[in-house]
Amino acid sequence: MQQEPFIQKIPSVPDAFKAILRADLTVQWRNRRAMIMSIIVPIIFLISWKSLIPEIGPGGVISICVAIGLPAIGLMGYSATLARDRERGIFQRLRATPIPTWIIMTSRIVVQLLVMALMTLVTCAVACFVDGIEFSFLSVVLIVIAAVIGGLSFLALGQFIAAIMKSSDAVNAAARLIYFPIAIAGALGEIGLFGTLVQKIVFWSPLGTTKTMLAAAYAPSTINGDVLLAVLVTLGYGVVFAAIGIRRFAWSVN
Amino acid sequence: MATAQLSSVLSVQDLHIRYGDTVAVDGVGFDVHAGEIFGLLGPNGAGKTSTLSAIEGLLKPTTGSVIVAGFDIFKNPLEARANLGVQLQSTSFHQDLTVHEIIRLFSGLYGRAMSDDEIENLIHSIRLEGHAAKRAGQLSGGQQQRLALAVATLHDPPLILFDEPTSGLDPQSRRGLWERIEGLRDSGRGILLTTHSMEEAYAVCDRIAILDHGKIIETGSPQGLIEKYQDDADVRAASRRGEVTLEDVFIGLTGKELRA
Repeated sequence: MQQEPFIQKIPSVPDAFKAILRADLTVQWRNRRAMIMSIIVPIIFLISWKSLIPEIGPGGVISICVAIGLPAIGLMGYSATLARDRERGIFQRLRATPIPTWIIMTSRIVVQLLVMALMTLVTCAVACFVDGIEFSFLSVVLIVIAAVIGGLSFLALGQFIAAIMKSSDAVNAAARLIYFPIAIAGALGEIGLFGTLVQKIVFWSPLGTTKTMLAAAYAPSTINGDVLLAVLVTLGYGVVFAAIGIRRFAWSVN
Repeated sequence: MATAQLSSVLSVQDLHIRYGDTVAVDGVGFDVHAGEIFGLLGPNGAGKTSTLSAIEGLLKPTTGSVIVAGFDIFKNPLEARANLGVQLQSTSFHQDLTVHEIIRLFSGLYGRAMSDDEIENLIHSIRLEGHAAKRAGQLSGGQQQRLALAVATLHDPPLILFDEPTSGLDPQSRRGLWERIEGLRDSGRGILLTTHSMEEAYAVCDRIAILDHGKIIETGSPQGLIEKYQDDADVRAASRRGEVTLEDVFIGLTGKELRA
């Protein structure tokens, strides 16, 4: 007589999330070289721009450096790992388990947001101890919150790229093609080096609105209607890119 | 935990899958019973992968139903997948996670959180002792397949899917995997296996279905199909050494032309 198979129960969401988050954090740690590189980018800007602090102010320097670091993680790092894991069939295998799909993606986003928060804190620490920029506790908290909001929009952009490009090579190339103009325009565009039109475009770009939020977070007394508008626009970018990126994302290359 | 009498652990009915104007699966239907190894054979592009994806609930068919252990995969996907073990063509694990970490991850995802000792015992049972701290990317093909099988079965599912499980394995690893698959069958699990190896289908499958151009063109036991078609002109023409094999039947039924 044959043994009766069990009818299984599905795992609880917290248990499943804990298991996958632990694995994603481990993978992130094992790939810490890439994480360290993404933290070093804003540090290089920060140290090399020390002389600009008297001209554009500490809030201006901090906001540019953190804002340039965020797309390095969200745009290049996140989209590259999505494309790579899709090609390896990792998503396909995870989706065959009895967990809701949103858990798979949420865990990855949480890991990236933690890296962004770490990058932001390291940047603030270097700004404090190397550049002599002073921070209040409130401004550090607000800068991390602003970095997370801005970071979400870049993660959504990374999701968008991984959705419309199928191969990891194409995703990597597209992310770099988008990142470097963003970084250069973000660093130099707002000072009017490329004209007033570029200045306006940069101001309202995802990087520009993130910079506005970060600069206001450094000096909370300067938060006004324009800053709140920048928050809304940043969230809007996130919603639009995420909506397309999630809707069109293919979990496998087949 | 509830138990149930399951004669059919998988029921696929009238499955149709289209990609734009292309019909990938055209009315496929079959059952896999508890204690049976069912082989799904077909040339490249026949619709095997699409059928498997629909069974896993990863691809929504145009029409048709898939019932896994009594659960509709599209209406109750989580309950159905909890009753499903999957071994994919590629081992599909994070290459940066160790053997121990991969088992811990999937035991959590299947709601069967295991202690370190339980994980070590499982690693020992698949003869990977000494490799627990190795990353998946450092394992040989045979070791990766043993790990994949352990992960596919750690929640004791009544139905297990194997997608070309012995592809790329050496003869020793292949024989070892066949024995494990047969052991699962003997313990009452239903097995759905896709393969391009007619030798494998003949050796392990109790029943097979031959799929071509999205349709099942024949179903039966491997030996039964050989006996049925041994005098068929196309099959005899495909025979290379006089004696009709399952591969001759397959070529005779699906044709000699190369597929994508």
